[in-house]
Amino acid sequence: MGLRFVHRCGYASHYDHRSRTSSWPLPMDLTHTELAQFGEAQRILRDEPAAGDVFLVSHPRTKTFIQAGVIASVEARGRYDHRTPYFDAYTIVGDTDETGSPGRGRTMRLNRRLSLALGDRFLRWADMDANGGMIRYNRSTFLRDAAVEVAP
Amino acid sequence: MKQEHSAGGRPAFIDPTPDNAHGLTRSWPLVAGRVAGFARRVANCQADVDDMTAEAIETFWKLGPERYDLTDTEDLRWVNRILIHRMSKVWGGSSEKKQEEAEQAVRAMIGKEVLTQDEQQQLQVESHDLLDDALLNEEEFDEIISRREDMEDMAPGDDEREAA
Repeated sequence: MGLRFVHRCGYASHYDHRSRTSSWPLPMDLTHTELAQFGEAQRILRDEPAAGDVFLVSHPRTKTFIQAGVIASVEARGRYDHRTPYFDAYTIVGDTDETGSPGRGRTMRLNRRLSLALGDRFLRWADMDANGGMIRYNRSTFLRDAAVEVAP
Repeated sequence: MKQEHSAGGRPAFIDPTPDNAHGLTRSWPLVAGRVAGFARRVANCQADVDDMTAEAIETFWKLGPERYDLTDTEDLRWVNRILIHRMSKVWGGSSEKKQEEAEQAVRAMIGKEVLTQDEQQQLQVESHDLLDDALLNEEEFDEIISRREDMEDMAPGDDEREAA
């Protein structure tokens, strides 16, 4: 699934081989919607995207999140009919295909139009480091543990 | 050194398109039959049909076809409702007279029970717009649609005729 791709990239890119820990701050065992709730609780859920954010694509009918990916860059922003705002972003998405649909098994670079009005949200996970805590990887779950320090 | 990553014989990455044309191209045929059927049923001339179809395509693109599984009945109904709602507004245009004509055409399609609806409710329907209101409030949108039109009330066989 798309979230798995996000976590694999995040975990690997934040891994410290000396301490054998990764500082990737997002919990891996959550669904898309649970991750949004986690983001809300951590106050990292944003209405506008920025490079590096994890984005969550909504399903307007069911009011759930169905897909996640990484914002590589924000290319443009605008409004439908001068009213409804949207963002055009260059994204990297796992488990998709050239159409951008979820569950298609491939990793793609996609230009996506994301819209707060349609329910899309953005996780500014980098803001979680502000409290100085570290993340320790324990089997399949990322556990937040402020007592763990990174080896010099 | 540049590394090449294979994904089952296919390239690991495909260059994106600026407008998600892939998604639109793949998904549009799944709703095109309903759209064309509704346009032909309501419009007076080919120009109106073209306008309504163009509006439906643009609306479909705005909705983001990649968000929906159009093989799922509920998702398909959801998208069809929005497209038809939008098309009927386009056909009515900004003219009050044409809006009324559009309303009458939709009423004629829906059936007798809608003729008993209060005119004020119909005006309220007209005041709502897609994306801004409807998508953000499913209950409200369902209420709007139930007063205005329902795909199930289209004449039976529309899809079959489209397929033919």
